[in-house]
Amino acid sequence: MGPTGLTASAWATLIITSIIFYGGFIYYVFKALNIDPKTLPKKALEMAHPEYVKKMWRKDHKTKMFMAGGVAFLLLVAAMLAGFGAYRELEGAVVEDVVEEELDEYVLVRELVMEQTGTANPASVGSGATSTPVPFTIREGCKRIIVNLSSTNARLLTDYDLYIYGPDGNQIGSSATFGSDQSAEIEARGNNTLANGTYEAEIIFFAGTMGTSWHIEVTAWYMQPLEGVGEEDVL
Amino acid sequence: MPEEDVADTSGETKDMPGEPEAAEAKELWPSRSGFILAAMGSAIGLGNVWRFPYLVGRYGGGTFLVPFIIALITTGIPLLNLEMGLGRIMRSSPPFAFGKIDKRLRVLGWSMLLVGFVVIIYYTVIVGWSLAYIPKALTLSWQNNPDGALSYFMNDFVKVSSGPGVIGGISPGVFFAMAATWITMYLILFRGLGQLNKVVKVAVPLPAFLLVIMAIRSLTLPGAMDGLNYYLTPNWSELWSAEIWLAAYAQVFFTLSLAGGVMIAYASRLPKGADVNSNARIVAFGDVGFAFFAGIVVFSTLGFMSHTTGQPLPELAASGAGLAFGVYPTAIAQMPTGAVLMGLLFFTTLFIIGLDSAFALLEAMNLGFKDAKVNFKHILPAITIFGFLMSIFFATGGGYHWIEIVDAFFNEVLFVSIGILQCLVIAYVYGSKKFMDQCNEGSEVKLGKWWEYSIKYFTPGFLIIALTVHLGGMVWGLATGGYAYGNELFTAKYMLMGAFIPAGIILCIAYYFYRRWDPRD
Repeated sequence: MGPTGLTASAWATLIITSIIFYGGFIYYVFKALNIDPKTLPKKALEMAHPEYVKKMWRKDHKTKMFMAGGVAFLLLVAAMLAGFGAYRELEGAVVEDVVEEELDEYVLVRELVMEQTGTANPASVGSGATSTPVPFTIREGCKRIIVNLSSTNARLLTDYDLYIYGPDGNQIGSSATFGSDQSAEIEARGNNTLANGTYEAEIIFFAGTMGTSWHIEVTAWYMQPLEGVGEEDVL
Repeated sequence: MPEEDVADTSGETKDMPGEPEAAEAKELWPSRSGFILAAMGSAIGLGNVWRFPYLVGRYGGGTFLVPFIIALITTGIPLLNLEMGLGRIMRSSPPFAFGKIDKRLRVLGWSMLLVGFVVIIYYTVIVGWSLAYIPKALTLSWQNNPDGALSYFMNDFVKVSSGPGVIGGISPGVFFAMAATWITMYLILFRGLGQLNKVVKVAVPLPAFLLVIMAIRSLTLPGAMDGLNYYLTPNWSELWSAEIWLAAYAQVFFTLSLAGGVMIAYASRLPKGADVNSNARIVAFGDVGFAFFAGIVVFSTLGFMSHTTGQPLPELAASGAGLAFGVYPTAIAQMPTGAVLMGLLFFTTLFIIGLDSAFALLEAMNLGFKDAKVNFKHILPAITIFGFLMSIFFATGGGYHWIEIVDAFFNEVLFVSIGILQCLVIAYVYGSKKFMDQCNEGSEVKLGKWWEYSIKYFTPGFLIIALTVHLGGMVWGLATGGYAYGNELFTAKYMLMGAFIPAGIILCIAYYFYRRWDPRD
């Protein structure tokens, strides 16, 4: 995060896009006004300090180099910010791995909690996007839940969204990107565990052909003492 | 402003070689800036505020900008250049611009204008919603509904019926706002291009200025940076999906108001030798720049709302009316200070940008009839009153559903079909090389081979793929029980009534106009 709270990659996107969109706009406005943008700095300086300009801007290639240097600098800043953002993301991933290894008295055991298949069909015209609630139960000692939603016969424009609600009814996770495949992950921080009880996965059929089938799979990772755990189940 | 780009409004336009009609006097744009601002006003519409930011957020933040920029350069700008070039070269509105290539192509030109006219009929209702919400912002009326702002909009304001089959009553608020929108459009246009030239010099920069004020407030709210991070941080895994590319190309096509006939009609009133190539680029970059900036305002506000309510950002980043009249008003109401001002600025911005686009479509139709030399003095009042009467249907409770049905079909099928046809006509009937040379006359920026390749192969090729996917999805969906999109289920009956039958009627009327009005008569 930078001092403003924007991530480095967000800064990079902001700078690069602004250069293209607003730079393009200004460039062609100058063209329309019969001002050659390449010689604009020279013209501006000529108007301000003619003597200084004569001394400093004798050759056109200097102007070109100045413009190219400015653009290169901005691109370099953007690339550095993007690289910094990627490094921070990588660093974050490493930190997460370390946390898992610190659980020296416990291991995480994977368990398939629920698996279900269904079909998307709105009840009536104007009834809104189909919403299908799929409840599932989580026992005590759960560290992480991963909910995967997929479709076996989805076509290009099929769009599902997935929302996860905890036992208290509050939304605790979601996956609402475009497409039929969605995945939401809920994980307790540090050595804490998730609340036990009945959770709910809400499947929203946002767009697509009627009769599209979906398949949902909920996997949970439970903290268990190290002894007596089958090797194939240990994370 | 270069001398040669300023039109002589009293001058005469010279027709194309081989054109049998005599030279006629046409009112031209009094200034180049007036034309550029009018074209930008047409391109900058409600979609810039409520669709572009949504797409950027939905398709992996900054990742969406990569295919979007590529689509803008490879398809958006070439096609916009084509439309502006066609208008300037032929010096006629769409029916007669195409008619000068082959008289039968007047059907295509009339179809463009008629499809655009149908869009105005429901678009004025949406613009009317924004107008009606300006006074509501003074008291933040949407807070009166305990179920939230969207419920207020749907149930208390529009009074949306249970489905398209239930027409329901007319909401007085929607009706009067829609009527006021039509009257405003008429008042802007009735004195011709001279007055329009003055109006756009205020109406187009003003929303950008209002957005800057909104941005200052939004960016200082707690949680704003979380919203911006969601808006701008790329998720590169999304880049390899076909959907993101399809969505980017479709958005470029729609955001530049292509295939509605406006750009051809506006450019037909440019002086001979005007620089259309630079104009097209200014309009294109201005349009996408506005949309990108609107996204900063929208997402910083949504970030604040997420911070306040704990709702996740993907859930808040809705598109369309859901964002403008549901999520955003809720966010405004939660602001510690300046809520009323933000409400006023937001809905005023929506109203002005919507109005700019709507009167552009109406003016295109008006210029089409003027070029047809229709023997009737009161064309503009006649089409305004006719359009207003038709709009009443969309102001009903059931009209809300019909807006979604008609909009989905007209945008994704008819406009795209017209876009394909105009590329093919220019590339293979008129000749892309000849067209390019004529566009380059008087233009600072020259079109090159890339433009030719784009118009001949790339743009029509992509649009054909997009059309096949959308139409195929719709037809397949209808054959298997219905096609769902967002809150609507499009069944065969309603798609037939709201899409295929109107499209057929438009084609019949276009053919009638082609037979009825020939400028050579």
